[in-house]
Amino acid sequence: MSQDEGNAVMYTGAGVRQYCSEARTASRADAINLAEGYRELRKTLRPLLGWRRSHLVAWQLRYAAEHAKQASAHSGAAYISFLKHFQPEVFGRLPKGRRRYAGSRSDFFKR
Amino acid sequence: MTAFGPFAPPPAPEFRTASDVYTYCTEFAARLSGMALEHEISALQLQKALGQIPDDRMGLRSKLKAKLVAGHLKRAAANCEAASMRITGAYLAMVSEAQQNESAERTAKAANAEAARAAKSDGKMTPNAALAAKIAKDY
Repeated sequence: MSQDEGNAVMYTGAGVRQYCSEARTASRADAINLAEGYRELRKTLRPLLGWRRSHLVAWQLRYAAEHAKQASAHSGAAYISFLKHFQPEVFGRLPKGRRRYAGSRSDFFKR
Repeated sequence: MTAFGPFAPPPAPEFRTASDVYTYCTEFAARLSGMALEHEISALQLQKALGQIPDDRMGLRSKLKAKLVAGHLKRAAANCEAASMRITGAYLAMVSEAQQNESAERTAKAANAEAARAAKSDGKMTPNAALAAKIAKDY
């Protein structure tokens, strides 16, 4: 993709796929890094502040890791949702385990 | 060129000094804020682009479906923003704990000095000195 096409990434199916895939990978890496940061910070602060107070500082990083994980999941779900609503022939070829929200809501648009 | 980003790589979680924690938290918070902004903008672009696809109901169905797809990106943006806030909160909590620690150390030192002075003067503790000794013992 060239520099000029950067803004047009959301106008093709392949562009949406690339965007969502990269966003998912980046958020997942962030979640892993933040979880490791929680463990490291806890290990560093425990001798200085004690068990309880080191937990009070570091638990925010654990929550941040959970948020990053959720962001990763939603990035992936955006592409699956795109397939479901705008490329149903591709969505139909997906294995059932990878079709998110494929329960009773899947036939919402089928009349 | 990447479709998402480019963003600065995430900092390594190595904490030797307080400034390491500060650097980690600020860099990570900036990265996640940038990602949140990118998600928000992309959600708006995607919603607008998908909403233009014609259908048999004057485009209303496309608009509704586009909103469903873009909603996921908006939720991803909200999560990135929340993670950024949490990381900032972690650094602020550490500063707060450090200040409390410093204040407690100062109180204990003053109480120790008071108890030592009382013991040196007549060997008999005044009520204030006894309280100071108790505080020193607790800390």
